[in-house]
Amino acid sequence: MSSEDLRPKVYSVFGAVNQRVPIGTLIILLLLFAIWNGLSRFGIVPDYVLASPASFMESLSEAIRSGELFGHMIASLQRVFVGFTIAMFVAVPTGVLMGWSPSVGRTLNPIVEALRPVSSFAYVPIGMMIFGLGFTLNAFVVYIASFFPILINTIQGVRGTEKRILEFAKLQGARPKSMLFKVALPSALPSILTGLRVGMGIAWMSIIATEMIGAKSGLGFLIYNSAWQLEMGLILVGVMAIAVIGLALNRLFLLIERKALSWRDHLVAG
Amino acid sequence: MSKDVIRIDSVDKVFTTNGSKKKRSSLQVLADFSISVKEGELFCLLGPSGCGKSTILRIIAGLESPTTGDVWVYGRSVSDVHDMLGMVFQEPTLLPWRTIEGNVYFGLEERRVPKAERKEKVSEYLELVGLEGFEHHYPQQLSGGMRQRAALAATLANKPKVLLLDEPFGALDALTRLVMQQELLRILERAQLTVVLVTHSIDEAVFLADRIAIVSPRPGKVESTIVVDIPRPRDRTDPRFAKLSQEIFELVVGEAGPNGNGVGRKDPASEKAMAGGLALK
Repeated sequence: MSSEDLRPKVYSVFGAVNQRVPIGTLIILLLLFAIWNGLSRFGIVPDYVLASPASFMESLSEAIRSGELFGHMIASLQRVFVGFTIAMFVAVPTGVLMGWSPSVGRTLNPIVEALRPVSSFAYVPIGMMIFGLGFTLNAFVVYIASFFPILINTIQGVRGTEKRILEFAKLQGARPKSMLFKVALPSALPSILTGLRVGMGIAWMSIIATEMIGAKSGLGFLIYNSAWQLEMGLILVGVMAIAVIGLALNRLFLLIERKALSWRDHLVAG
Repeated sequence: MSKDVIRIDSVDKVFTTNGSKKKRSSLQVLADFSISVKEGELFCLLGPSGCGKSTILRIIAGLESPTTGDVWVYGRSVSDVHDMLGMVFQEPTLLPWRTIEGNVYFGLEERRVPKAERKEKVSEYLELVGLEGFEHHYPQQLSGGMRQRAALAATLANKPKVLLLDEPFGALDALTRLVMQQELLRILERAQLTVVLVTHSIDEAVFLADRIAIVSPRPGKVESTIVVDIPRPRDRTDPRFAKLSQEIFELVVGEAGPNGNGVGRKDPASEKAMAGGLALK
């Protein structure tokens, strides 16, 4: 066989990372902005319900200048980082064990299935009793929220290792330990990374909610407190910061997936 | 003459489906299946799809166990996967997250081959299968035929004494298949091996095998064994080639009977399909 037919047409499976924003999206965004502007300019919606673009800009520059926005961002991110990291270090090994050993899987599965549908906010009262208000409580809720997506995806990834790949490895002389660490784990990696990305998304959602109840800082606290202070511009600033950071975190995880899974980045066309 | 490397003694294999006791059904795949394969031989199991020939290969490999009966490889009863065997599947199978080189490395790592030797062996076997220059490619970047070569290199690097090939060219296009058949013979010339090949192509069997066992459809059973005494290199235009192919074709069609599975049916379309391999001269 000649090597001519071997130049694979390479394209990226992770096109989403590099994709430019479609022109349609930009038009819709501009349209929404125009509506927003119109609503406040013509007094249809009063300023104390929805801040006008002008007062939004004013609040934004003030929040940036005073360092208030930055402080809240850091507070939220720290809590998410701690809660998420602990969840990762507990959920991934547990998931690997549950996916690899049928008996462990069978034993723990009913417990997981029973706890999974419980919203992480249901743990706030318990957390308050144990940890009081503050950093630990918030990190605890993040931990609960991100635990299950990571766990479930890890279990599925390990369990989903193709039978013929396991057989290939076995026939190649793989030792039992290698069957797990050199075969099942790499094969489960895409699914584990998806679990981490989804878990991070949920962690970021839940931190905002818990900070409204159990914190004196953070973006959740910022928007909740701004409502009490009737600082409508600042609410929008907070919401915008939440969106931007959420987007950035998702991108970051997509980027990690892309780097870690470069082996499947090249597909042969046709 | 030479001793038997593989002996299969009246093996039965029954698959039982999962489910409640009432709904459970069973399927007999192999019935009283017996063969013996001599050292250095290229032994071919020929039969239609679903005749259990892949199952017998998996039993020899230790991936399945027989319901009844015994399997010996080099005088040792087979109960699990073991070092003397290598197997190549129909679907080219490799670890997709490892490069071609990494895949050949895998078995060497696991068998604790000294590091200094590994590098040497990897290039030796990649060269043997004609994949030099593709060491750092990932399986997804290669064509099916090349992936199959890589799988063969990974398997041979472990120095098996017996090579099991489960329709190894079945997933390849007809032209690549012809090339790979010749390549296989070239590779086997250099590696001292006993080979059991499963195929449903008469042409492939006659081109490659020293002996051919014709397996009847479900439950699989060896109906007859044929010695192919056409000297190598074999020529598909050789009249002996055509004659033997024709004989085997009649045997296969005859054995299956009018109610048989697959090739057994005396319908012109399927006869044509079976003879298709012969047309490739």
